[in-house]
Amino acid sequence: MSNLWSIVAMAAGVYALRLGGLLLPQRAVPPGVQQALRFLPVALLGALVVATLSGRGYDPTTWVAVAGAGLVGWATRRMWACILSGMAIYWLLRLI
Amino acid sequence: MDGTTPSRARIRAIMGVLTSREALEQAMAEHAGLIDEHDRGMSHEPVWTAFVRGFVGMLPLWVGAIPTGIAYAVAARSIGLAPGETQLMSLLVFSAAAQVSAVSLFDAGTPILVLVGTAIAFNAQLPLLGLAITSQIRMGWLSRLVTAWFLTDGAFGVAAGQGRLRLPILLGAGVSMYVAWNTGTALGILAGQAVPDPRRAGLDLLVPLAFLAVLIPLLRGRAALLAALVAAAAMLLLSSLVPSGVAVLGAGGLGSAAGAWWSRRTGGRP
Repeated sequence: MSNLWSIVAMAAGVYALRLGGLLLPQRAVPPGVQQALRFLPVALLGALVVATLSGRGYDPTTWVAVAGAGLVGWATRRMWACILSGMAIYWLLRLI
Repeated sequence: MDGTTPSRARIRAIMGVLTSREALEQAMAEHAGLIDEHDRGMSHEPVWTAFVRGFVGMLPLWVGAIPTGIAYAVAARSIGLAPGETQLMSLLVFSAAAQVSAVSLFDAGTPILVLVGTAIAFNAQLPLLGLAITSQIRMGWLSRLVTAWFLTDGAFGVAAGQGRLRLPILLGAGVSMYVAWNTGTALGILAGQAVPDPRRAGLDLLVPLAFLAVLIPLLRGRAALLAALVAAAAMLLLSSLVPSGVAVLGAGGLGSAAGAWWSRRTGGRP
């Protein structure tokens, strides 16, 4: 039940942002704030990669797999290549 | 355009000056007619065709959205979210980063306010998209409510990449991504049911990988790279000091401030 409320609350928050931009008058957001907002998603993602990785404990197999996935993702610029290569490296290393 | 490309009508108009005034007027009218017809051809494209054009324009991004949707759903199931809840979140929240982060935070028993806070922080750029859209399209109430539901960075990018911004193209692209994201989620739920213990199979590694996969294409330019690195370093330090949800928000704030600082220092270049 609390999961359901969390989902609805998150949905309301995100929808408010989507609608907010369509309702706000032009020039409601000062350029300085716009500048900082541009980098917020990138920064949060960087923080969350670290957070979710350290949540799994410091297992070298994991870090090698993630580093490999990062390189593949960087080289190919494809999301699915990044995810699949990471899992492939992880499973291969666990077999050895 | 004018002045660089001498159209046939224009040349005839110039010739017309030399011959007769009548010929000139005829050529000018023809020229005007050509422009008019071209304009009509663009803006009177049927709404349905424009919608389909937006939908199809988004298809290349399905390749990224479906595996990320699968990864999200498998991770959500592995922390004990019910199949219905997992799908409902994709239907209602419709934000990859916010949903994957919610899953990683649900796990840590985070209060609802922090969950909503991270979801909002992840999508803080969305109001800017809305502002960009209303500066180019006049919209009624209903179309604002509907457009908001399907609005994503990707949809805006695809629609803006197809010439003058039009509402049906934007909606087509938005609905396309909505279908892809929810299809990926459904596939992930099915896949999760096939694997009895996802965590022992190491499938929870999909969570950091999904974040990384969303992050990498966004790392265009040094400011973005700096923002991500500062946030990652701040996270390493903060995670041992404060609860994880708070640490994520704090690290995100520090990282985006670093990115904005660099971007300003280099004169607004990305």
